[in-house]
Amino acid sequence: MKIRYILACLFFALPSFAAELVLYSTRKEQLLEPLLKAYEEHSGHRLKVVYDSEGPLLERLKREGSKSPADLFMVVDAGNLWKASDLGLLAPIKSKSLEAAVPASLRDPQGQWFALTRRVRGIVYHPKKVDPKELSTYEDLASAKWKGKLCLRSSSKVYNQSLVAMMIERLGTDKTRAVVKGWVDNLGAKVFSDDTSLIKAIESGPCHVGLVNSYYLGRLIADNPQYPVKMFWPNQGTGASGAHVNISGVGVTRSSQKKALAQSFIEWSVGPQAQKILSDINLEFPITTNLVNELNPTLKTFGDFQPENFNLAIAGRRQREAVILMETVGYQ
Amino acid sequence: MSSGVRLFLISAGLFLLLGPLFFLAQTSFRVEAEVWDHLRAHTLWPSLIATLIFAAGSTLWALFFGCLMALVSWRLPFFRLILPLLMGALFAVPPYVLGFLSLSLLDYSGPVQRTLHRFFGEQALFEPRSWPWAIFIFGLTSSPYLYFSLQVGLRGEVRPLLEAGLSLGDSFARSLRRILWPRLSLWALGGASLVFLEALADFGVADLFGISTLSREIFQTWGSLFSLGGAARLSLLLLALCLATVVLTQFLKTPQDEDQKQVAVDLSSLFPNSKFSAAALGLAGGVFLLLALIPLLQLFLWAAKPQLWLELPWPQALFQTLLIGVLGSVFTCSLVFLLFMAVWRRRSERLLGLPLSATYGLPGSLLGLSSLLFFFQIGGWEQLPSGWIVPMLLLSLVFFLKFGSLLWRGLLSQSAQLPSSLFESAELLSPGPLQMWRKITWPLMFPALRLGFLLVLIEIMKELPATLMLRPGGTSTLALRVHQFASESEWDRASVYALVLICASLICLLLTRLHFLRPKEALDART
Repeated sequence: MKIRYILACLFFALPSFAAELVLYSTRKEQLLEPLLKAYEEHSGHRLKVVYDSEGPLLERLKREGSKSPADLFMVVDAGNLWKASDLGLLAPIKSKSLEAAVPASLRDPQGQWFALTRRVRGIVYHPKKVDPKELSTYEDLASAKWKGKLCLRSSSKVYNQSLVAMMIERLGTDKTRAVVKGWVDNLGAKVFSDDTSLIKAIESGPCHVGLVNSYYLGRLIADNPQYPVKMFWPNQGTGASGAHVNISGVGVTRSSQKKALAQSFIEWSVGPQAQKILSDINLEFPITTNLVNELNPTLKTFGDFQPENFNLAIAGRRQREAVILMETVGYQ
Repeated sequence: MSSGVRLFLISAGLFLLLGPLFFLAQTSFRVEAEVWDHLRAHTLWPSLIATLIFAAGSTLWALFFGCLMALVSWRLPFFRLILPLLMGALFAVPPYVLGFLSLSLLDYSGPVQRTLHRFFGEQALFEPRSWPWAIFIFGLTSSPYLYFSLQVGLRGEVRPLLEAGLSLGDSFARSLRRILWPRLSLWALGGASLVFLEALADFGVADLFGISTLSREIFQTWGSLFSLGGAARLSLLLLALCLATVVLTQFLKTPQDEDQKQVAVDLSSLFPNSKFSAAALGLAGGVFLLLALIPLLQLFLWAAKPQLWLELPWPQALFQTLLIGVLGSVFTCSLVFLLFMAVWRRRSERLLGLPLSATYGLPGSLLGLSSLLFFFQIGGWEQLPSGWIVPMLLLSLVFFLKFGSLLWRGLLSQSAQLPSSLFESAELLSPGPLQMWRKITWPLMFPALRLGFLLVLIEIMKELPATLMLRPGGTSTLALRVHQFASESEWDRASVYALVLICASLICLLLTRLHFLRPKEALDART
């Protein structure tokens, strides 16, 4: 009788053993839901998500301080992760499995954040308008041969800000200013508010080349495998700096009372199941190269690329400098 | 109302109005020198000029188009039924939705430019992301403010006055200027200032069309330069513009305007011949077709996929939108009504009316942030609870700041139509203030309250940035879903939510026309 009583108590108490993690995220809900659902099925723990954009979410975390209910902070772009760590909002974690799975250039040196996916910014072009042999580097897009043919997304988008930030690190401020000025002078159309419209303007518009994140083209190709616009990986070859890679990433918050559990979520997220989900949903590259055989077919069509080798924390550190530089040369 | 209660309400109103703005101002002192120097040197003046041009252009276009539609509906009886519906549909469409619909048609990959490219080559291509289009789109979605304002002003009968002026030798234009405009200007000014304030606060259309307004720069400074102080300082500049707009509107209203009661204009006098009617109708119809009906048709085509309607959780989003809308509207209207009754027919009317009108022009995200700062500083709380109650209260405070002036103006207009002698007599004859309020004040003010409630509800349903920031219980409203999918260029999914949002807003707008919601006493009092 006593045993039955104890078992009954355990049975009713069982759901309460399932803990709840609170995730603050800037990712779009429809992109995150499959991942969260898979985690809940795998672990039995619940995930509660607070969605918002970067500025308000960082401000909220800062204001809440040690009393914040957030356990995890998940955003796109290394700049935002760097900012969160710079504000002391993230906790350093030590994990051999994370260090093995995530390349050093894609995680914080102190272990405060880790990449979940790679988002590569490449050059898109129309083969009927441009011979791919004419394409080479990001800097070359500033040369006179691209006058009136280049299209860009707005400078207010963090993807371009990170690219310019990394260029400042690589080339220095003066050279980068000259390159960005060259881009602006070569614009064939007003800057676009999104990458998809830019790609479509290359397909049937005044644009010949442009800079976009690869997954936008991936989505169009997934809808129509015969889509005419192609991807070119810039800055490749011996001695070259590599294609600019940004990330979506996650960190454990300093205020979290469930750091071990939050860490286990991150460790699961860099594993094969989660990486496949993340890669398939939004056609972003997984952070691990172990999945090369299971890579989404659309991503395979882009071919291999040599990524940039700088630590992405630089993108955050130099973001303000990049934005000021872009605004100064008239890049809207 | 006793003077103690009155004083308490006025103080509470000022505290709620000025408290968040105070903390915003306080934050603006913490701007980094590097950031402010850059803003001053490169973005402050260009964005200020861009804001003024965008706002002025949109207002003028809305004024022109709204007046034209009002004239057409009076001149051509058939359109008196259709036009209010069409203008109501426009009012229900958020400007950024019409913006992305128009761009999808006019963009380089859209059907218009593809056709031009095929027949005339690359030289026929035009840039759709331009000032004129942005102003057309924003002005068009704001023109219902003018249309409905003029509808309110156009009652009664003044045709004899107009004809008398003409028969006494005045030219047509002079009669319009001396007779018609003074009677309509009050309504037109009110509508125009609303449009101007909306344009000052707009982010969606400006971002879509690449116009670097102050609202965009505020976002950029906050999100990209990581400078909340800089964003706060720019927002104070925007607040100053809003205040200037409100003060100028008050100044432009001549003393005799305030005494205007229901004045009518038989607008058939304004169309001296049928060619003019045809031209006006052609212009109005052409604009409507090109800029509104065709994009809305595109919306229907995108959303016409039954599979999407089955797979997307739009009923849940609709429920959450209505819940937040009704709660927010009840809070806003209750608070505004109480404050109005506290200051009505007193000099302190402007003390509350002025800041309430000014905050209408501030971006929702800044008001959301101000409310958050207010919450943390005043309450001494250290975290925002993730449930429903506190975020909903804060969001309601934002709605009060942002949309309270819609009801305030309505109450002002309603009270202006009532003779003050009525209330003086009632005070003398009434057995008590409660009886007077129940039998006289409430029934007479109810029509404005009902209309204000529905207008605030529509605005709350369309609102995006503050709702995104404070999301009670992590809810996803229709506007949030539209933004989520539109920003990823998933037009068909965005269209489903946009269509539901437009229908919900349209239903609310239709309710404003229904008489059965009015209490009988108010009907009796009006007749």
